[in-house]
Amino acid sequence: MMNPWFAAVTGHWDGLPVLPGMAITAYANALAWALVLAWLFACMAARAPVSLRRALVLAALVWGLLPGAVSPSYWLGLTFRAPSLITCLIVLAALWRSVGPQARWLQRAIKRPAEGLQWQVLAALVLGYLLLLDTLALLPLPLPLPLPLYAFGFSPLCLLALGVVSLIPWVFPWAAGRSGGSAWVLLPLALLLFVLTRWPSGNVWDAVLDPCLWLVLHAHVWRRARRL
Amino acid sequence: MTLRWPVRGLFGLVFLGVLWWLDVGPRQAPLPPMQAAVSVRAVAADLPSLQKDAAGFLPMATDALTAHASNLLAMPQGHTATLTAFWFSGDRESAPNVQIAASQFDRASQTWLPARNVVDRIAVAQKLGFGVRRLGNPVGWLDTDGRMHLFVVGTGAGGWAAARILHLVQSSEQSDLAHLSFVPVNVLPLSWLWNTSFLVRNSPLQLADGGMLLPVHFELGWKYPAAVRFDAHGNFVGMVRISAGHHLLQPTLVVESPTQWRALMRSQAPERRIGQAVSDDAGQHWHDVPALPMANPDSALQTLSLNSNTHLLVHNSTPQDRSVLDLSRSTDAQSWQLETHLMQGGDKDEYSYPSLAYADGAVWVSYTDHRKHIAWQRFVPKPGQGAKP
Repeated sequence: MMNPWFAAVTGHWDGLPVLPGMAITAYANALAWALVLAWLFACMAARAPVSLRRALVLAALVWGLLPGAVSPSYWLGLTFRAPSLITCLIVLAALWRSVGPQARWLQRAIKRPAEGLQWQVLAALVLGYLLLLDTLALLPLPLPLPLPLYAFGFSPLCLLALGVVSLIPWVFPWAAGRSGGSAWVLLPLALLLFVLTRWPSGNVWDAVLDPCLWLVLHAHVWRRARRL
Repeated sequence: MTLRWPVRGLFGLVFLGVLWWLDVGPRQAPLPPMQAAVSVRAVAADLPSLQKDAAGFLPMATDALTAHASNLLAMPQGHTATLTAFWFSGDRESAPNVQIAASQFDRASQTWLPARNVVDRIAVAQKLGFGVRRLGNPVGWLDTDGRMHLFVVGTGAGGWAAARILHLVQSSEQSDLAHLSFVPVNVLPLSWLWNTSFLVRNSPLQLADGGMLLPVHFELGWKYPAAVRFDAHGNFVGMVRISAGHHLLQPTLVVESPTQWRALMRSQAPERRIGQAVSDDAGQHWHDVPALPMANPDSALQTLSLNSNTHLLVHNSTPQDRSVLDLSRSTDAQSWQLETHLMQGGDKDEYSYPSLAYADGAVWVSYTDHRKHIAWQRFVPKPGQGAKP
C-alpha cells in the first residue's frame, strides 16, 4: 500500500518522468564511452611520457566518437548501454590527472576521486545490491517506498534525497574523512548534469551508479580492506 | 577561506532549490489513475456465436524464410486499411537479417497488401548511436494523434535474456503501408542492470485517457511480468510489476470492470497451466491468484476484451506442445468455454504466438504457422445473430 504521507507529497509534486532526447542519447553515449576508452588507454600507458599518453588519449577519443560499427562506443553501448555520469566524471578527473596541465595547483585540485569517501563507496555498494535485487524482483515489496526501487529513480523526491546526501560532505566536512579533497563534488555535479540532460535514461539511479562502476567499487573496497 | 557550517548549509539549500526547480520544471503534471477504455466505450456488446468468414496466410516479405510473433493493430474508421499486421521475419529466428515486416488489410480490395520491411536493425542502431544485435517481437499502438508507435524487442550482447524494448514512432506523414516508416524514440528504461532483459509480446490495454498500458516481462533467469504506462501521446509514465512469481511471462490484460483487471500469462511452472494475477484498483497494484485450470505448454496467449463481460482468448490448449490452437470465450475471464479450434495438428506441428483484434465488426486472429508463415482467420457473428450495439 502507498504510504499516505508519500502519496500526499507526490500527488502535488510528482510529475511524469522526463527521458533524454534521441540526439542527447546518441551523442552522449558516444562521448561517454570515448572518455572511458581514453582513460583505459591512459592507464595502459601510465609509465609512458605525457606527450605519448596525450596522443593515445586523443586517438582513443577520436576512435570512440566515430559513427557506426567502427567505433567501440557502438559495441560498448550494445553490451552495457551507457556508463553513469559519476563514471564519466571519475574518468574525466583521472584523465585530467594523467594528461591534463601539469601545474601543481591544478593537479592538487583534482585529487583521486575515491580518496576519503569510503562511506559513500560503501553506500554505493549497498545501493547496487538493492538495485540488482530489485531488477531480479527479489527485493520484497512493499518497502517503505510505494514503487519498485528502480522506478523510484524517476521521482523528483529520489533526486532530492540524493541531493541532500551529496551535500553532507560539504556542509559537514568531517563526514568526508581526513583526506576528502574535492571528490565530494562528483555526486552534486552528476545530479546537476542529470537534471540538465536527463542522460543516460531519465532515471537518476542510472546517472549515479552503473553496474560496471559497481563491480569496480567491489575491487576498490577489497583492496582497501586488505590494507587494513 | 573556511565557511561555517550554517553558511555552507545555506548554500546547500540554494543548490537543492536549483536542483528541484530544474528537475520539476520540465515535468508534465501527473496523470489521474488509470481507467480502461473498454469499460467506458464498449467495442461490441454481446457478440453472439462466431463463425469463420475468411482465412489465409499473410504475404511474406521478400526472401524471408521464417516469420514469427505477429501483432495485429486495428486501424481507425476512414483509414484505407482495416488492420496493420507486424511480425519479424528473416532467415531464422534471431538471424542477423531479421527485420520487422508489415502488411495491411486493404478496405477497398479486401486483401492483404504485399508485405514490406518497416524496421531495419542497422538503421535503428545508427539512430540510437549504439548497436542492436537482433530484432524480435513487435507490438503496435495508435496514439490519440493517430500516430503509430511500435515497440520492438532488440537484443544487446547475448540472446533474448539480453533484450531491451525499443520504442519507435511513425515518421512518415501517412500511415498507409506504402509510406509507413518509423524512427526510434528511445530504449524503454526498465531496469538498472544495463537495461537488459525486458521483452514485449502482447498488445497494450487501451486507457480511457487515450494512453495505454503495455504488458512486458523480464526473463533473465527469473521470469516476471510487468506493465508500462504511456500517456495519450506515447510518453513513458512508469512501470508496475504484475506478479511476485518467478515463472510467469508474456502477460495479456483482461478488463472485467473499471477497477477489476486480470493478467493471464504464459507459465513455465511445472504444472503447465495459464498463470494469472489480479488488480482491484485498475492496474495500480497487482496480486497473484491460483492458475487457471487450463493447460499452457509454455506458450504465448492473447486475450481481447470486447466489453466487460465478453472476453476472447487464443491459446495452445494441450500441455505438451503447440499443435492445437483454440479460440475460447468467457463472460468473467475465469471460466472459459471453447469457441472453436483454430488449428489442430499432429505432434510436430506448431501454431503459436497468436494475436487478436476487433475491427469492422469482425474478430481477427493471426498466429505463427510452423515458424514459416503468419496465418490469419476472421470471424463474424453467425447469420441472424448480429452483434447488438
